[in-house]
Amino acid sequence: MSRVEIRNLRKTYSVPGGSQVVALQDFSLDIATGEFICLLGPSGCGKTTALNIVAGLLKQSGGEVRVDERKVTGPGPDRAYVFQDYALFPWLTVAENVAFGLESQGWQKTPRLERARAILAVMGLDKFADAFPKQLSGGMRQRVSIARALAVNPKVLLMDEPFAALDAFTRAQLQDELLSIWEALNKTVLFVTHNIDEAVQLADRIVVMTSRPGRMKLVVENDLPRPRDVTSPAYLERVNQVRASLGEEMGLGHHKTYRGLADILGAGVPAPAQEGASHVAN
Amino acid sequence: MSPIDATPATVAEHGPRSVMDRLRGPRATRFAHAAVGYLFLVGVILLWHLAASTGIYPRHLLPTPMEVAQAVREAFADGDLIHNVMRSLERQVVGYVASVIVGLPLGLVVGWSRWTQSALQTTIRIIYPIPGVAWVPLAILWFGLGFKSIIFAIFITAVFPILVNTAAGVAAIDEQYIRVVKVFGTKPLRAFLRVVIPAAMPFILTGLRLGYGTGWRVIISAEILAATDGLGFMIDNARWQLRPDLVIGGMLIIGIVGLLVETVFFDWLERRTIGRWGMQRTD
Repeated sequence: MSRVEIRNLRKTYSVPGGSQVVALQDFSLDIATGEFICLLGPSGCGKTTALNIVAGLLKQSGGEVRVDERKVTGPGPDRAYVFQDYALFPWLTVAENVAFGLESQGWQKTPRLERARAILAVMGLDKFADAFPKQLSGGMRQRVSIARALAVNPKVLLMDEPFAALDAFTRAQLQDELLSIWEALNKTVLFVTHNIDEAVQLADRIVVMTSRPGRMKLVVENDLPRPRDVTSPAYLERVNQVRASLGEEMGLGHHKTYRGLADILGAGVPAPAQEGASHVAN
Repeated sequence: MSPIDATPATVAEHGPRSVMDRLRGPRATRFAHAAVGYLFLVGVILLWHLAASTGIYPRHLLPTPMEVAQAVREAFADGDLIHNVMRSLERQVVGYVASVIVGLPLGLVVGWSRWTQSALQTTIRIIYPIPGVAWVPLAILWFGLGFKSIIFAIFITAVFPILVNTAAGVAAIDEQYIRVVKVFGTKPLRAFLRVVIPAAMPFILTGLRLGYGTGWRVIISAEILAATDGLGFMIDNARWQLRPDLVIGGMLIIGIVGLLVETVFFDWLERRTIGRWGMQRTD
């Protein structure tokens, strides 16, 4: 069976001054083959740290990660990574970018570009195979980056807030496309996000994380049938459930009044609106 | 699955804009800016003509633009000018190519390894500010007057901007590119050729351009000190003949030949590479 086992992962950093900061601790997770997992939490909760350790980009301070029983000691062809900022090479064409993983594995030019073009064709990007990344929009760049990760046929897809920089419409389309790819290939996906809606939409299980120090707070089984209807009561209830579990993290229930601010700005009470003020529309 | 927002973005199709333009909003047209540039040049030549023809400054020291043009035409007609231009360019090409062959690979190595950086930094910092022409006396002692000395001076001048900028480009490589290389397990040599060098390209091109420019400036000085032909020799020789028209004409030729290569060639190279990739440096 092909699966990811994460055992008691811990990561500490030394900061200037000699003290240690705990970025991640007590992180354990068993991911089944073909399972879609979202790591959800605020920034600084260690979710990307956990992802990078699984990727082999970062060394853990303690614990271990196994993919198909094999201990992770560094990056490997069984795992591919999709970066938040796409990380495409501007000097390579779209097809060459998609083929970069294959090139790194020693594939010859013709077969690797053929494979890249075939993948791009399925994703409706074949028109842009010979374009440079700068000619593409953010959404298309991220799709190329996903194609690059898929091209090496990894067992596990690691994704670090891949859609965070996109507008809401493009994000919705890419989420849809990612699910189509996932259903077609049955890849195991570990997906980091800070977007509750995104997690509920995509994941089989949502790992809710908490910061300072980064650790797991709870795991939400997200068994809503697919395709998920984002307007259904069950969906909204799930979103609310996750949101409530994140409540403290989001600072909810600690409403601040900021009374002093008005004093600093020289107005104890709100000033009446002025006639003809020109900056109102801004 | 249908393609998403399948229109190429039109960013980066506009050239660099000055801060003034960006603050003011609608920018003056490209044509108007070019016209202002040429008008100013015409104004300078006109002022020069006035200064020379009215005799404010002694005529035998400051010839008019027309007299300078006439001197250049004569030098061109008797083949002298072409010969000297070719000699200077020949030295420039040989010295410059040598400095690229040495400076580029060395810069890549220095930029790649923190140890070589630490090892070389102090030495380079002391040698870098020495003007190329200051190497000429030593070169004459070592190689005698002529070709070798001049080549040495160009080489030593051009090699440092190339080396230093290339090293800076490699050292400044975006962390995300390194992570892609790690994730896909790219072998070091391939990573170097396919990722590190193109990523450092904006800096490398700056170094190549600077190296060429400083090399060209030094060659003229070196020819004044250590040659019997070339453009530097030509203007120095014209001084001995009390021919300010030929001195100024030669200087203008030096400027124009430099301009042609430095801007025309390197602009072309930049458009073919980092321009096409959308990687222009903003400075």
